[in-house]
Amino acid sequence: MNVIECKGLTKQYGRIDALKDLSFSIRENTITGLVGPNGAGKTTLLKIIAGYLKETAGVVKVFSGHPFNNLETSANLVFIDDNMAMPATMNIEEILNAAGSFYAYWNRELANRLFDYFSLNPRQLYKDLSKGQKSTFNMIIGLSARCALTIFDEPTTGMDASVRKDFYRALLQDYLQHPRTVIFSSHLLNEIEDILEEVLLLAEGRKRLHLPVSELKEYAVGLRGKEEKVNRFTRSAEILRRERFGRDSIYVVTRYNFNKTTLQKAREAGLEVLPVSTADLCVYLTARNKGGIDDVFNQD
Amino acid sequence: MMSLTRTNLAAVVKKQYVFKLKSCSNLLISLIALQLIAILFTMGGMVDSMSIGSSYMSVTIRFYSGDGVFTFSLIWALATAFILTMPGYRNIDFTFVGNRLSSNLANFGFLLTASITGGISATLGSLMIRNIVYFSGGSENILGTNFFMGPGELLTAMAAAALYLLLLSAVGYFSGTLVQWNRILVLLLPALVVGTLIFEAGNYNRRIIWRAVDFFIQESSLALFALKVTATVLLLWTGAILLTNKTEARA
Repeated sequence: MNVIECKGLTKQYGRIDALKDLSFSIRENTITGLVGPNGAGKTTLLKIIAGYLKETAGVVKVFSGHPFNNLETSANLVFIDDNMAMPATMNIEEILNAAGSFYAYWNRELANRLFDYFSLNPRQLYKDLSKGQKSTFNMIIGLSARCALTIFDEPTTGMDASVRKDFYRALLQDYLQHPRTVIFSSHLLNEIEDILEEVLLLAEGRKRLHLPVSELKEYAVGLRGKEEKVNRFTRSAEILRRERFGRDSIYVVTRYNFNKTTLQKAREAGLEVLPVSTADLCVYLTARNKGGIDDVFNQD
Repeated sequence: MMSLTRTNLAAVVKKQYVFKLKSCSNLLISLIALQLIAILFTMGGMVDSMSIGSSYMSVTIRFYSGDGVFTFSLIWALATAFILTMPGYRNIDFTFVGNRLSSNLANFGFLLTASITGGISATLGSLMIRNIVYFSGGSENILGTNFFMGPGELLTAMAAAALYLLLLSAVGYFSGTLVQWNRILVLLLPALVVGTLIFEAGNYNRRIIWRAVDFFIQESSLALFALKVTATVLLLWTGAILLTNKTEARA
């Protein structure tokens, strides 16, 4: 069953297209990573799914209903970002209890255990928390709410590396015990790819690709070595990235559509055959040019 | 697999209302603080007075009233309702479960609660002023007119005060919603009101705002007054609901 379905989804702010003709669907009980460069439309998409923003054109369905202003959608969904509006008058323990009153499957015990583990002070006011502590607190709400659809939009802002690691593990643990649909938008794909099942990559408001992580890992291959040799092997391949090293060395990333013997031959010809990390791949796939920042400096 | 929860509007509004009473407790506290300040001002000389006298003697009459407490409360109702529609407060309604309608209804519930509380405390405030005058000025120096209030009068005063607060809060809420709906109205709305007042100051025959005010303050029957206020408030609330229902949240 699909929890989210979008067809031709378009969102305009004035004359600017934030999302353009976006079509995809997300199956029930999967963890999907939503990635893409700044301004790709990730937050806009998530806020439309959460029912905060209204699409300009196209169809969006969440739990088979239209999410905008929909109470049923809201009751089954929790949206966590680094801009949560919290009352200035209540301490975080009171806010946590208030949050619990809203969600049918709220797990108070988990909330309390996470609260203790991350040693948050229950008497503190939300506004006095540090950036990382705010994110930690929001994350606790997102996990404990146990909503059928859990959305994390850049949830790790300000968290240090160890808290981030704990968060990913906590999410995975709780997900395994209580499967639900999770969308996780992040710029740190290399950190989260182990917990993801699918990746949805956006660029300039359009879908660039939507694949299982396992396929994404084998999507491309990098060849490094003398330029003429690399060119010989990549002549007919789709080139995603081309970087120069020194005078005649080059690094080229192409779609992985070689057979094993070709790769073996490349190795024998003295080329390095390198795997391409998913994070790098997503950068290459969404870059406006094939040379990256180098193109700014090389004007030939 | 996780099953979906079904919910209904009433349940969500109730949760949001309870949450709002806690999260907006500072607003209720500010109302009580304002009323206390108004009492202090009244005792400190914010009163009408007249003096008559000759070289041999002089008499000063001070008119103490609960008007200051009531006026401060009215301003509070107008401002607080306006503030509730601004993103700082409105966005909190979308942190957990809710939609535009539930957010508005919870706000109405809060303003109704605040109006009743404020109506009661403003009336009690004017009683407190009587007490302070009685004990500080001495009973022999008090003119009895309007000094004593029967229980019936007291209840009527409380009800009327609460209704006025509710009316002003509805005006504030609707204006706030208008301004959030289109930001140009931040400039246009005050300009329109002030402009109309200036225009009306010179035109005794065409006074829309003055007549609107008279429509309420000249009403001598509490029942009719309650009816007028209720009808107006419902109209303004409906307007606010219709205006917000298509607007985006947390944008």
